[in-house]
Amino acid sequence: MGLFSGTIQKLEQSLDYSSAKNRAISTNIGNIDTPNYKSKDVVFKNVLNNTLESSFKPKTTHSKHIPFNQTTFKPYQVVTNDNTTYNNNGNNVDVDVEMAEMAKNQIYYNSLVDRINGKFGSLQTVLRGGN
Amino acid sequence: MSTLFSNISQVNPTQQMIGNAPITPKEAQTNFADTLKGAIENLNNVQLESDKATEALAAGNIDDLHNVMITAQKSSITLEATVQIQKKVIDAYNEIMRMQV
Repeated sequence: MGLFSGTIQKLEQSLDYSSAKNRAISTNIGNIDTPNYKSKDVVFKNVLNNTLESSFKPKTTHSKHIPFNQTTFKPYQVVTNDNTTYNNNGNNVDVDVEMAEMAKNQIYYNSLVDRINGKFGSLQTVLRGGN
Repeated sequence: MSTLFSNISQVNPTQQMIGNAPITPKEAQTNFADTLKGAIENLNNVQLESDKATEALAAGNIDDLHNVMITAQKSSITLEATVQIQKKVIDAYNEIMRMQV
């Protein structure tokens, strides 16, 4: 029947992403003094796919070739930033960046929760017929 | 309110009676049906607009958060108004059905 399709599904996936991002930021802040720890980030999978496709496109010359981008059910992906080092112990967590990211993510999460609440509210309004 | 049901004035029969000939029942029915159809179409458009803004928010490409929230509230209030009017119309219908002729 598709009662919860479309926007609600997208909101659910975005909330999954936002919660994963919050976890990654917490891990980064928690490991601020861990030697050789590299900061993690969460990106939307389709964003990553788009950038991958634009930079190098894999060629499949046969129909039985395994496709380059495997489909997983997660809409997001955790990436580790290995390229930089801010500290003598090989750690690259920047507290200011992490705090700013956390504040941003919190606003994003709250607005998503507000919107999905609104969507469920309208569904209930229609189902109850205004009572 | 003008955007909510912009053509609601068509329903008012007294406005149409003034000056010109009285409208036939068929015309009145078509007017009423058109008004309802227009209102529901308007509701659908507002909902679609709200969905578009919400999806842009989820994708992260919005400039201002308040625009999303205002669009959402507008669509919610339009929906509420439509449901309440539907309730009133059904009440009126039931009232007429119970009338002694």
